[in-house]
Amino acid sequence: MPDKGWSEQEWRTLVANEVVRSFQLFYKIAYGVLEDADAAEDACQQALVKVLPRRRELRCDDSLRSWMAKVVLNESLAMRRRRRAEKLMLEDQTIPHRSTPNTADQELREAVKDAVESLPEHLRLIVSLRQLDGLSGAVVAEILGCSEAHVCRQFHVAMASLRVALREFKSERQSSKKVG
Amino acid sequence: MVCEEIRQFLLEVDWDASRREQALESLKHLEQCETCRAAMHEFDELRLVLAPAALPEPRDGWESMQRRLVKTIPPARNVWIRPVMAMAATVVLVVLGFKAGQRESTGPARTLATTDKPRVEPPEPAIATPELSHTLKAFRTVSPVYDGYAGWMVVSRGTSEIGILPNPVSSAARMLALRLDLWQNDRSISNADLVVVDGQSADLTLPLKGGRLLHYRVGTSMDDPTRLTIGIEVKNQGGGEPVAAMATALKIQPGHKQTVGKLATTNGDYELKIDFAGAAPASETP
Repeated sequence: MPDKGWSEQEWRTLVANEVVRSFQLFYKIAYGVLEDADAAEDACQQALVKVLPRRRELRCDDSLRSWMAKVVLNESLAMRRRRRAEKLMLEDQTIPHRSTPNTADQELREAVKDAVESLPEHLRLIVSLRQLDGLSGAVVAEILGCSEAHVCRQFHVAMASLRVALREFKSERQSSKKVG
Repeated sequence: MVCEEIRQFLLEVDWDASRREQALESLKHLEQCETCRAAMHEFDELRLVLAPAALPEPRDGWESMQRRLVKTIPPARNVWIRPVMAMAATVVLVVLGFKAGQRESTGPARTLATTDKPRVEPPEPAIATPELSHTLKAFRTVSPVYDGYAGWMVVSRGTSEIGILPNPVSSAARMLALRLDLWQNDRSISNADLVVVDGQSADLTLPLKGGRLLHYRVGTSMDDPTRLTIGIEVKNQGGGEPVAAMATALKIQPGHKQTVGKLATTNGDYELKIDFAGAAPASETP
């Protein structure tokens, strides 16, 4: 477990070490959110740029890998929000007639992803790793440096929240159909 | 499902007896409880929605992405940092699948060694050329972290080191890829892969089992990459006089393994073999 007494050079080296070890995992996390290879790579790079000046934020009980994974996930989610906002702006102001209407499945997917985004950070990461990246509970536990049982409990809590969001989405869709 | 499929499934899911009982109970419960059935359907739906999309490789491949990310990190200069040794080890061990064996020497050795003149043995299988390219790739991946100040990198089982130079490596420099293999009484006791910039010296210490230390000093020549000077000492961890020592100069042949020298001690015979894979540019051609 790293401690907080690193020099700037030691810190950069630790981060470089972690990048070499885990960059495929970080890419996978980013791709799970963004579903775009170039954007996922950019998100990883942006996350790395954000990690470098923040060595004092890493708590002693954090593993560098899981902390960096959280930063990558948050950066990916922020990038997804920006991309969606840009898309909406284009649709609303520039080319309203060219926008492709979302299918019901896409809408559902977006709604669930929004619900993932609104989860507390630790639950968000667990859902992202378990579902978006398809990792087993044991692997997620290893990444986060906690027990598999803990991952299982937290995953259950997160899925319960997502179920609520799923039901809300369905009932909204139902009522809008009725209105339509 | 037929019996054979059931057995195969049981092996695949890898459940123990208690897990099987839990599964059975859950299934029985699901038959009776409508609320849990509804929850299960919702879980299925969520899983489907959140299922991982097929992961494409980054546009320019994994290596390029790794290099790009590492380059994002500002370089560290003129320092000796242990964690980077681990990074170097990770990279090189992954790409080489290096499996060196180290065995403990036994019994005390009191006599300072004598040396034989280096001689060229009949060619033995040497490091394969693809391994050279992997080693160099690994070095090139690690080197940007030091802004081109890394002069050599050694990887051995359980340890690795990087040497930092006072000046950056020239773009015209070449890297030599060597494997150093120390034998004692016909058993390999240390095996290390070394890449070193021509014209530079690598001073490195590797642990031997039994608490002894093996120190190498490998000097290279910029004019003739096949000419090496090698110094070797085996010491006890507490210091003191070496239990075996040798220094020599030799010409190496690319693709050949040759014996550098033999050391006769009261503890038995030591023999150093060197395997020279070849030389290649230290930096990638654009």
